[in-house]
Amino acid sequence: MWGRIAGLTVKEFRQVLRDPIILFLIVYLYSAELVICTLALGFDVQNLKLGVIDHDRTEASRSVIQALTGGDNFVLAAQLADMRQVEDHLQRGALDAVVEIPPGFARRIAAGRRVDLGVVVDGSNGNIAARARAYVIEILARFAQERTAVQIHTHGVQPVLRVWYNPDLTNTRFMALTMLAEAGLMLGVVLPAAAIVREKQGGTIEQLRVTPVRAHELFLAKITPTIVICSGAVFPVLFILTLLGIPVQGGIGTLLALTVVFLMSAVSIGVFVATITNTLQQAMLVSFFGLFPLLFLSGTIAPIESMPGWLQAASQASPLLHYVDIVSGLFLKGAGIGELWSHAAALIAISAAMFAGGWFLFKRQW
Amino acid sequence: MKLRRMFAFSRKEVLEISRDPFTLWVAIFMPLVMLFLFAYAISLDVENAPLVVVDQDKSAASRELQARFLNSGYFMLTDAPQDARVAEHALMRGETRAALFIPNGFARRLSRGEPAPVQLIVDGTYATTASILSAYGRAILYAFPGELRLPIQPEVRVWYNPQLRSRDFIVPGLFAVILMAFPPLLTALAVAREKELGTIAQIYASPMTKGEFIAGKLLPYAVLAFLELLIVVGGGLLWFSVPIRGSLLLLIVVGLLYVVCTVSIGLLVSTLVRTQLAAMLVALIVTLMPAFLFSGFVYPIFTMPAAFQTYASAFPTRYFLEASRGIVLRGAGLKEIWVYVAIIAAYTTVVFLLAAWRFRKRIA
Repeated sequence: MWGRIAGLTVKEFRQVLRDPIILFLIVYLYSAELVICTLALGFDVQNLKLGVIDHDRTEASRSVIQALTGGDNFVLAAQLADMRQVEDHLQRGALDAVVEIPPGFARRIAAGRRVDLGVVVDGSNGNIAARARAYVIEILARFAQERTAVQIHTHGVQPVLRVWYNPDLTNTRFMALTMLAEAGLMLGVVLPAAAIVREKQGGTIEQLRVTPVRAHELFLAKITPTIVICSGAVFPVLFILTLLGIPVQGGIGTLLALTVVFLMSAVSIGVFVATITNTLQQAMLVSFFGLFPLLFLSGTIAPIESMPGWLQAASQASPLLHYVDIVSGLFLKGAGIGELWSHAAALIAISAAMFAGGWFLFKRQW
Repeated sequence: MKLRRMFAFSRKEVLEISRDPFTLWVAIFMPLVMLFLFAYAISLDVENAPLVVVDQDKSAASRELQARFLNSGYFMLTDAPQDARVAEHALMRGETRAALFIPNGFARRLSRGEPAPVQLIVDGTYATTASILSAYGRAILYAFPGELRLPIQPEVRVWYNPQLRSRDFIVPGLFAVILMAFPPLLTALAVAREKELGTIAQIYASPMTKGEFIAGKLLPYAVLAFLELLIVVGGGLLWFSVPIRGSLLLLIVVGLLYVVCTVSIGLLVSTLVRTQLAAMLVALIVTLMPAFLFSGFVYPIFTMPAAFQTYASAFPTRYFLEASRGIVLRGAGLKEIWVYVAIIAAYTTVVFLLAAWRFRKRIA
């Protein structure tokens, strides 16, 4: 039995290594794609364009404007005369947010009375709008506290904010780790699916059927090259990540072991796809459309917490979700197997379910 | 160019598609699945982020502060341990996004007017969530306890999308992404399949010209893509009740132009490669990836370095995305978006001519 598996595996390795397109894709995904996305998409939203309508024109109103535009969050892009001009600027996308300071602002502050500040945020880009709103609220709250402290000589809550694991709040590290995980998932699903379906479409599966090769032996031979190549790719990626300033903090052995567990779950999906399709075109289309839900439910694009409950539950079935937690634990948080075992268990459960389903369906075709 | 030959060829293509129910099913059904899933899955607002509170003070003031966090809607209490190490462990395991530490003597210091430190730790792994959470967290802390404070009350109005519903922002963007994902993929397989199966030799041997071949291939897929456009726009606007402020007709007309553009890109890819697998991979790299990552759909273009902004400008998705969001969210008319329409039209022409030029009648 082991001789048969070894022979088949050697054949599969040759087939993968002979295809220049596949080799190019593997290298591309693990290097160029990873670097491009990290460099291009790793940036935080800063320097939002703020417009100001100052009806008060006093020291107090100018210091509010200074507080808003002094940091990295906003740049002063326009001084407007009144609200009628706002529409035009937002329509053209020349401004992201506008703050209107009412007349009598300084007088009311000095008297300790309540002041209402008008803030308009362009909601047509939700990503930017949510931040613009949060930043304005934060800066105004801090401004109010600092003013009070000066006026009535009292201190309040001193917020000590710490951002752990990613102190400068850039997306760079997370993006690079996400691309590593996505490359593994894509190749892990597509390569075994294509390898199995090619035999079906080419009719060579008939020849295998009359040999003593059993279904599970064929599966094992089909998935081995993918797992070996993709887990081996971790080493050059580690080098690239170090160049990008993302050294691994956990153990490399743990990383490799958990990567193999992750790849098992990815190839199990590929095997399942191969059992339900008959031509290469169908297999490509199905895996193409299967990959995207897995990607979306991984928390790499949008936060899982904000999803409806049924989708949060569904996201547990995405191997990518678990692997992204694993690599961010290993690279950013310095976590070990003690913290990450639950994700590993989930990955094993996914693999077991998909392999069992694939094997059951394939048995009937064999 | 003879129209009769072109239509005859289109008819052959239609018959071929209709006899492959799997592909047809994928073409009609999958964009809808994608729309539903993504419109439900992508929410960029931060709500109910898990928070662990370590309250060592256990005073009325500390309970009030905790209540402010939980009533803000941004945080949701998952655990309230006594030991700070439990909270740190929860952060490490990714079970919570933030931890709030209220030390002993918090209420006493506050009542004496002394600085009362409170620590908020945010998990920075997910930078977008983290920066919004830290801004709101600090705002809550600065505003506490309130009676002594100067009430500067920001009255925030969000224009064009008052409840900041991510769906209103995501759905018009999805039109652009989905129509770039499916039609080019199907078209890319269309010519490559003829090459792989060898039926292309029959075309070479026929009197059909390059223009007739390319236009004849394009037509049925453009119709199919237009059908997808109607399904996706209808599903998006009706099911998710995204209000459309501009003209629906304008959206459909610009959309029609855009699908001709995306189908042409698929055709161009198809003329460049020889196998279906290669066609799919190239289509993935030149259509879906840029449409998704470099169009401003989720990641804003203006934060990218200049070289990548130029790269992003080389793909048509961002222009249709601007037009679609303009029409749906801001009620823009042709006057505001004509630039994008002109760019898409020019792009389509260039891609079509390139495809016709690249397609040579020869046996390689």
